[in-house]
Amino acid sequence: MAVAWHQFAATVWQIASESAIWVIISLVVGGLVHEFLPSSRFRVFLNRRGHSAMGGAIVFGACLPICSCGVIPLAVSLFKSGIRIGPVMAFAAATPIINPAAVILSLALLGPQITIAYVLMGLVLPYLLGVMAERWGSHNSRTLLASDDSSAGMADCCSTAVSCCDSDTTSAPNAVASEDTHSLGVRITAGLRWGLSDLGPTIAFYMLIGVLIAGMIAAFLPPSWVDTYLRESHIVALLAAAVLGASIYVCAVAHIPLVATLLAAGAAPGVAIVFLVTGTATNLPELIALYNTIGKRTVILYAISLIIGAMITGLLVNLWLMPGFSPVFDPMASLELLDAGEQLQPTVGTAPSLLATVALALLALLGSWRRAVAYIGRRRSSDGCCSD
Amino acid sequence: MNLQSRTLASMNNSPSVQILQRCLFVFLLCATTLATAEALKEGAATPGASSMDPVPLASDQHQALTRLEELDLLSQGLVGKAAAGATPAQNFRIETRMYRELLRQTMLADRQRPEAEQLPQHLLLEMVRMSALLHAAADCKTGYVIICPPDLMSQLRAQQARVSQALLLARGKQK
Repeated sequence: MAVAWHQFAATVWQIASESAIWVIISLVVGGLVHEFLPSSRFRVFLNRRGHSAMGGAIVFGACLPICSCGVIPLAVSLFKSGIRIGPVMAFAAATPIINPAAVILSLALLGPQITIAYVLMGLVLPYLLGVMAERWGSHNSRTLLASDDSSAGMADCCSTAVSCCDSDTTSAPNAVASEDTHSLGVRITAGLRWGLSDLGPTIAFYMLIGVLIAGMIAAFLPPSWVDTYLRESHIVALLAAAVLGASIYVCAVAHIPLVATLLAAGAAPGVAIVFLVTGTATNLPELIALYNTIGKRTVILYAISLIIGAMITGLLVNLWLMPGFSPVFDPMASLELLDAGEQLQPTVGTAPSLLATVALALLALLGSWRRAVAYIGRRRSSDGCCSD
Repeated sequence: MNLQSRTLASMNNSPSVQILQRCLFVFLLCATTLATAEALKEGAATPGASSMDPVPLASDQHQALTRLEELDLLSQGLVGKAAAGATPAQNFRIETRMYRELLRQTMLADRQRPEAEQLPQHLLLEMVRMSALLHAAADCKTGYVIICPPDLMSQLRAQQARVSQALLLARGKQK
């Protein structure tokens, strides 16, 4: 029990400390995006119907070195700035799966064949996810988010949460209207306030729930699960790798060496790539946060399509490379590529990382407090005016 | 008291004192850089480094294998430190970097020899993978110490065992 508890605490701390700095940066950028995007040409580009908007979102996401937790605020702010759900989900999937450092590391350790499969999967899968979200996802959920944060207004609001949030959802058009009337400084302040004060507590609250559940899973998952599931090549192993990868927190750059050693020990290449892609594309904190902010139907569709899509790709990779696959390459070139990949990877000092973790924890506490106040307010008002 | 502090403040602001301060700063900077460079050259910066001098280009395969065995010992120590969960992140990072640089030196020296005398490629590949895993472990800094997740820890141990086994095989073949 003590070991499980230690594992739980270590996992919670690890996810929080690794992702906190990126979440905070993403909140700041997300706030600015929310303030400036509605009035920019980029919004028009991203809202185009067709391949260009989806492709643009994927390429933009693939260049950013952000993990699956750090991408949440950016994706939510894009969505709340009026961008269509398809490009938003394509961006949310492509950003953590693929980045320049991960591709170079993959080339160094997994070999050219697996890297080709990884890059193709990292570009095609987000596109398909975006198309599916566009067609079947929830388009009218832009009003859900602010119900958490407009706690002051919620207390005396007797109608539905959606109607209470109308004031917030109009912020994007308001931003357009206020463009002429406010100076740049005022708009930057407004964007930062929205990112850190409105969006931040909501995202941090849902991330906290997700991180706690991820910690529980890590505590009760046997340490040998990697060897148990990732060494096989059958469909159950592919499913297990996909589901477990989608649940736990996996960073592409950190897990490529792990996948490389598994491959060297005889793991099926398809299973390894499924674990790498589903693991990096999503995790429980991200899914829970998106589920509550972007829309339930979209996120369920996203998770299921990701798992099925990754499994199909895994099967195809197994058919292509098995039997007898062994990544063989020049050790010296591999070492040089490792260095190049690690230089591309941004490093964050311990002190900024700790500060960001504390800031994220405070935001989560603020989010919890606001939800509690809103809940009590709803209960009181439903006992009072709504009961009439 | 006030007069004294004002006098000190005016002395601090005077151009001559500022020039002296700058000279002292430049001197300290040069001295620190030279001392660090000297320490690194002598291998005194990190424990265990003194036993690993730069590889002579004309060393034979036996010497190269001995070098790799020393690296194996270093990685064993690093795996132990990662498992302990209390190693300062900075030290771990430096030693991980040292592992990679010494491996690079050994591989570069190995390339100078005739192909028949070169080290087995699969052994070097295993050590490159070990280096990548150690770097991944160095990134698992929880606060100021290294704490690796269980999946990474189990792979570190498995890879360490593979490297040691590959070394034993290589040594056996040489005999």
